[in-house]
Amino acid sequence: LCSPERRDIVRSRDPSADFVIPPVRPDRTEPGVAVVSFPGDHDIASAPLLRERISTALAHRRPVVVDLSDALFVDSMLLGVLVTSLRRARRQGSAFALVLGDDPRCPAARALDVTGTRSMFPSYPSVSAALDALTDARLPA
Amino acid sequence: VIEKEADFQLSLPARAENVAVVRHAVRRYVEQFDFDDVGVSDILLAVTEACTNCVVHAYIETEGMVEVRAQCDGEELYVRVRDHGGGIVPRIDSPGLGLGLPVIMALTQSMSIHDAEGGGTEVAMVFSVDSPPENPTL
Repeated sequence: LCSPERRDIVRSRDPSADFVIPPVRPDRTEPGVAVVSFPGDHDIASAPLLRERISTALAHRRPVVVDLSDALFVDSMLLGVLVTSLRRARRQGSAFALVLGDDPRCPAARALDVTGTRSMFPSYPSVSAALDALTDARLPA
Repeated sequence: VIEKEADFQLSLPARAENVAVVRHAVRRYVEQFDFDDVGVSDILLAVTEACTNCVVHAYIETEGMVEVRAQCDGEELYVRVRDHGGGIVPRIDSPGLGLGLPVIMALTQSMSIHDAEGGGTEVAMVFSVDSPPENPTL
């Protein structure tokens, strides 16, 4: 497992060679609901931009859906952004929900589960399911 | 446990943009062992949290390096993340929730944090290849 040859291979690799910057998916607004999608890797480097994008969505005082179904990596810095955004949404009376996809082992779900923060958020398997739920919730009884 | 000449060694400036570089390099290293997908993801999350601690806490108003070393004996993976800074001290302007070290504790077989030889702080983590923690939570 630890042969000198393998050691050389590991050391000679350019660590950034396979680092791919994910495409930025433009935020969109469904009727009355802001959908913010976060594909790719998310850590301390991307957290400020994600915080700004959610903040912009919340500024319109609409319900906000954060789509993490295509997130490939999520760390506690992004969870911090989500928790502070949830608090702001609650203060201003805006609905705030997550989309985690169908795979219970998806990186976002795993990070939420490990930190025990998943139960704080309404979560849905798809954007359409989240939109249906938020739209139904806003219909008059 | 890690010898001076570890299988995997990487040293980079402790900057936010380099945390992903460390993570992708560690992924390439650990994929040669028998961790399943969740095991690999847990290792990458723990290493990311340790590196983030270096970026946030080690070098206040200065610059420095984050060093990552790893070695696997087939049963356990040993990873050490160290800096040469002032240690993990509370920051009132910390951008996170303070979950970094608890997450590392939840995802590792064992971990320790201590003063590094020659100065700085080192986070030492051990991951089991065959028996990763089940349903880890804080």
